[in-house]
Amino acid sequence: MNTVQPGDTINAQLRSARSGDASALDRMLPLIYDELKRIARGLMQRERGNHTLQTTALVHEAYLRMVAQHSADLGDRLYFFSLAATMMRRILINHARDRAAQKRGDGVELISLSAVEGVVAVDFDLIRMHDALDALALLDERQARVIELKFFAGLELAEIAELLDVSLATIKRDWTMARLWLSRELAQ
Amino acid sequence: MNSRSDPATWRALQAELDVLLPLSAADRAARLAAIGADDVAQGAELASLLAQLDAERIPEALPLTFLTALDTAEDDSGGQRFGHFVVQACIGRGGSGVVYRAYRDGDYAQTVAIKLLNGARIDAAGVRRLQHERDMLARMDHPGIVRLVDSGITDDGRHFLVLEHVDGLTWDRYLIERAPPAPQRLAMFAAVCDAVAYAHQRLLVHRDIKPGNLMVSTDGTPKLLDYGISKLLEEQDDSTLTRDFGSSLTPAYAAPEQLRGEPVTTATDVHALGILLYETLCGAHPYRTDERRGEALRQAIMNESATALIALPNLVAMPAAWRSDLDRIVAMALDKDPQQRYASARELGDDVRAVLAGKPIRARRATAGYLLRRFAGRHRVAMGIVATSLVLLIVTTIAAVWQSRVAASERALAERRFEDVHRFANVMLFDYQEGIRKLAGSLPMQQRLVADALRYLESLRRDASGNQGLLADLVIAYIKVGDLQGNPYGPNIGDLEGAARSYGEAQSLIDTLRITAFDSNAIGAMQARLWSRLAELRHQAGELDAARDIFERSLSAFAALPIEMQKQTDAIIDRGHVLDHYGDLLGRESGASLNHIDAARKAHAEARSLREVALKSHPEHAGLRYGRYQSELRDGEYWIGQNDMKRAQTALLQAFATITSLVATDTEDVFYRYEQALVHSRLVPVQEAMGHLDTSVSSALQALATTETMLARDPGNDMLRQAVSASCGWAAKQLIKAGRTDEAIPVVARQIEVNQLWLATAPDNPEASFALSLAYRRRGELLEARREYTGAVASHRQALNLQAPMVVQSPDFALGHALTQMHIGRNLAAAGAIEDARVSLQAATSAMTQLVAANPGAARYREYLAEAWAQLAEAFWRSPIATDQAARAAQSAIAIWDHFERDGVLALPSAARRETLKAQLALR
Repeated sequence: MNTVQPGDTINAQLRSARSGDASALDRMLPLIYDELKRIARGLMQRERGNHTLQTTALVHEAYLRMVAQHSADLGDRLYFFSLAATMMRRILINHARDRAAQKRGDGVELISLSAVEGVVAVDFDLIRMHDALDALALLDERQARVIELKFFAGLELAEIAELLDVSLATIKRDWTMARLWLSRELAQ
Repeated sequence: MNSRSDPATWRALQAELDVLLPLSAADRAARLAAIGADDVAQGAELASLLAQLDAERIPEALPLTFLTALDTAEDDSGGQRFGHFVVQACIGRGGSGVVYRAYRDGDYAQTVAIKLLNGARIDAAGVRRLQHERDMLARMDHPGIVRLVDSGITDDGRHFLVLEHVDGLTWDRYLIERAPPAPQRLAMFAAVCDAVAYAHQRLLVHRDIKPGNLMVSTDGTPKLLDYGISKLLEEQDDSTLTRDFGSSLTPAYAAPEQLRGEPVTTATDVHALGILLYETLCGAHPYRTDERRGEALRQAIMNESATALIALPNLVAMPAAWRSDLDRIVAMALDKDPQQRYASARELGDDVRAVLAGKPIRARRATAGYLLRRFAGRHRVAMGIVATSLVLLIVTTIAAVWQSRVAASERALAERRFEDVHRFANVMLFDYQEGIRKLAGSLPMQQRLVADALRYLESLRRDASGNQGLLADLVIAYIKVGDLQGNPYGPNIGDLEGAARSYGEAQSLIDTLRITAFDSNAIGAMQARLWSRLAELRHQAGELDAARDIFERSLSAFAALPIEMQKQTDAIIDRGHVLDHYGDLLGRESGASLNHIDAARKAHAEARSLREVALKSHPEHAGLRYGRYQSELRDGEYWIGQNDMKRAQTALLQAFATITSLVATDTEDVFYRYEQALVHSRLVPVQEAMGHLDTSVSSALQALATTETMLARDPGNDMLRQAVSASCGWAAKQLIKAGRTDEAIPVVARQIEVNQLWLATAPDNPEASFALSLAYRRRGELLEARREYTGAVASHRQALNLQAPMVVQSPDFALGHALTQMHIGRNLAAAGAIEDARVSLQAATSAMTQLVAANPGAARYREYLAEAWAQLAEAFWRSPIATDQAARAAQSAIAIWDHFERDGVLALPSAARRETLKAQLALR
C-alpha cells in the first residue's frame, strides 16, 4: 500500500499531497525519509569518522534526486522542502536519541557541532531544541514552523514567506520572536 | 498564566516587544521600568526575553552536525560474492549505492571496488538497454579515468559495477592536505581535462564532474570516478522515479542548461571543469556562498557572473601574469551559453598548459592589453627603458580598466572603453614599434608617447565619473605618467612642469574619491605615494623646506595605514624609496648640520630595516632586492661622507654584489646594468682614497665600458648618456692620476661630446649644464697633467662660465664652482700668473669656507677646503714676499687634516699631503 506504483511520479504525488491528498502524502514521507538518510549516509563515502552534515545540502540533494526538475515549480519545491524539513528534524533527533541511549544513561548527550572552517565550536543541544520547538508550536505554530524550515531545510525567510503565504515582514518578526523565546527556553 | 503555556500571554508579550526592540538601550530601559511598575510579571518576562538578544544561543542556521554512523548496525558484508570477485569490506556508501572493496577470486593482489547500485531491479529489457552503456564504459582506458573492470547483475537483479580501486584522497581533501602550489594544481587540472576529452571522443559525457568525483591516487594521478554513472543510473531508474533528463546529482556543479532541463552535451562537462578550476585555485565555489543556496544558487548559476579570481584574497600564490589569463579561461569555461565555451575539454586543458608555459592563450577576448604584456615581457630591449615603462603603464591601465569589478550594468561602458583601448593599444603596438626601433627612446618619441598616454587618460576620465574603481586606477596611471615626465629617480623626459600637472590630476582624482565611499585605506596609500612625488618636485625646484614637509607627510601617511597594508611588499618598496629620497634630501640640505646627517642616516636605516624584514619572507623578490641595493649604496655614500673609505668600500662592494645578482636574473634589463656601472664609478674614489690607484682605474674603465655598451644599444637614452659622461669623468680622472694621460685624451673628448649632445637636447636642464662643466674640468685636469697650463686654464674657464649661474641653486653646484676656481688658480700659478692665481684661490677658499660653515657635517667640503688652502699656500710660496700668507694658508690646511686625524678618519693621500705641506712650511 505504501509502494509507489510504476508511472506515479514524485511530482504528481507532490501535487496531490499539496492539494490535500493524505494518502499521497503518506506515500511520499517515507520515501523522502529514506532518501535523506541514504544521502546522509552517502556522506561517509571514502572517509571514516565523524562527518559534517549540512542539512540544507541534504535536503537540496534529495529534492534534485527525487523531483523531476523541468516540471516542478517553485511551489512544488517549497512544499517538498517543508516536508523534508520535518523529516530531517526527525532523522537528527532519532540519531541524537540513539546516541544518548548508547551512553550510560546520565542524561542527554550534547551533539557537539563545529563548523568546518574553524568557527568556534558551539555546544548545541539538539534534543532540548527539539522539545522546545514542540513547546513553541503549542503557543504559535507558525513560529515553530519558521524555525523548523529555516534550520532543517535551510529555506530563506523570503521562501518561507512564500510557502506559508504571509508577508516577509511577518516571517521576519516570527523569526525574531521565536528565537528570543527559544533562547530563553534553552537557558533554563 | 505565563508565556510558556498560554498563547495569549505570548501574543501580548510580542506586542510589547514590537515597541521595545527598535528603541535605543536607554529608551528601552526606561520603558521597561515603566511597564514593570505597572505589571511586575510582564516586566520580568520582557526583561528575561530581551536579555536573550546578546545571548547568541540560537544561531542563524543549524550549525553543522557531526553524525557518526547513522546505522548502528553495519552490514556484515565480507565474503559476499559478485561474479569473480569476493568482498572484503564495505568501504562506504556512495550517492548511488554501496561500495565494497573486493578482490578477484584466486588473485588476492587485484583489488577492486564494487559499486552496488541502488534502485529498482533490472529486468531483461533493462539489461539489454544497459549493455550499450556498459560497453562504452568498459572501453575507456585512460589513466585519468577510473577503469571499469567488470559489471553484472546480482541474483536479485541489482546492477553492480566492478571498478579499479583507487587508494588516495578526493580532490578537495588533497588540496587541503597536500596544499600543492599553483603550477602543480594547473598541471593536474590539465590532466583531468585530457581525461574528459578522451571520454568525449568516445561520446561519453560525465555529467557529474565535481571534487567529490575526482580522486588523487597515491602516485599523484588525478582520476575521475563515477564516469557516466549518472547516465547509467538515469537509464536504470527510468522505470521508477523519473529524473530530469541530464539532471546533475549535485546542484552546485550543474550547468545552466542542466538546470533548465535542456540536453546535456560535452559543453556541460566543460562548465563543470570551469567550476572545478575556479575552486582549485581559490578554494571557493564561483557561485555558492553560505547565504546562497537552493533557489538563489540556481539563479546565480543561470544568470550571474562569478567574482574574478584576481579579486579574491584566497587565490593560491601564482605569478601575477597568470591571474588575468586564468580569469579569462575560467570565464570562457563558465559562459552561460554552451556554444560560447571551449569547444572541447582538450582546448581548455591546452589553454591551462599555455599559461604554465608562458604562451598566449586562446580564450576569446585576448585583449590588446594581454598582447601588450606578452610583447613587453619578451622584447624589452627593443623597446628601451622609457618605452617599456610606458607600455607597462598602458598595460596596467588597460588591464585595470578591463578587469576592474564592473557590475553588469557598467559592462557596456567598459566594453566601449575597451574599443578605444584596443584601438589605442594597436596603434601603440604597431605604429610605434617601428618608430621605437629606429629612434629607440629618443626624446621626441618619448614625448609623443607621454602625450598620447595623457590624451588617452583624459578620455578615460571623462567616462569614469562614478566608477570608483576606474578612478582609482586613473590615479595610479597619472602618477606613473608624471614619473615618466619628471621623476628623477627613474627614466624621465625632464618635463618638470608636465609632471607637476599630471600629479595635480592625480591629486584632484584622489580628492574626488575621498568624497565617495571608496576604501579610505586605499586612498591613504595613493596619497602617500603621490605626496612623495610632490616632495621630489619641490626638491628639484630647490624648495627644500617644503620638500621635507611633504616627505614627512608622505611617511606619516604610510605609517597610518593598517598594518596588513603596510606589510605588503609593494607598500614596503614604495615606502623604502620615499625614506631613501627623504634621507637624500636631508643629507644634501644646505644647512645640513650633524643632526641632519643623522636624520638622513636614520631614514636610510629605516628603509633598510623595512626591506630586510620583508626579504626574510620574500628573499627572491626583485623589487625588494633592488631596495636592498639602494640601501647598500647609500651606506657606501654615508661612509664616503664620513671619510671612512674602508667601510665605504665594503658597503659599495655589497651593493655591487646585490645589483649584479639582479642583473643575472634579467640580463636584458638596462636599468640594472646602469646601476652596476654606477656602483663601479662610486668605487673609484673610494679605492683611490684607500691607496689602490690602479684598482680605481680599472673600476672606472669598467664602468665606462659597460655604459658605452648600453648607450650603443639605446643611443637616445638620457640616463645612459649621463652614465657614460660620469664614467668618462672617473676614467679620465683616474688615468690622469695614474699618469696615463695619453689614454685619457680620447676619454675626455668623449665626455665633452656626450654632454654637449645632452645639453643640446635639454638646454634648460641644470644637470646637463653641470655635467658639461665637469667635462671641461676634466679636460683642464688632463691638460694640467701634461703641463699645458694655459690650455688648462681656458678649459676650466669654460666650466666656470657654465657653473656661475647655478651657484645659487644648490650647494653641489656651489662647490663645483669653488673647485673650478681652485683649479684655475692652481694652473695660473703654475703658468706664472701668481697674482691672478691668488685671486682665484682666495675666491675658492672663501667660497668653500662658506660651504663648510653651512654644512658642518659634510666632511668632503672640509677636505676640499683643506686642499684649497694647501694650493693657496703653494701659490703664495711662489712669490718670495707672501710667506706669511702662505704660512697661514698652510696652517689652515694642516688644521683641517689634524681635525680629521683626531676623528680617526684622515685619508692616506691627505696625510701624505699634510706631511709635504709641513715640510715646505718648515723650509720657509
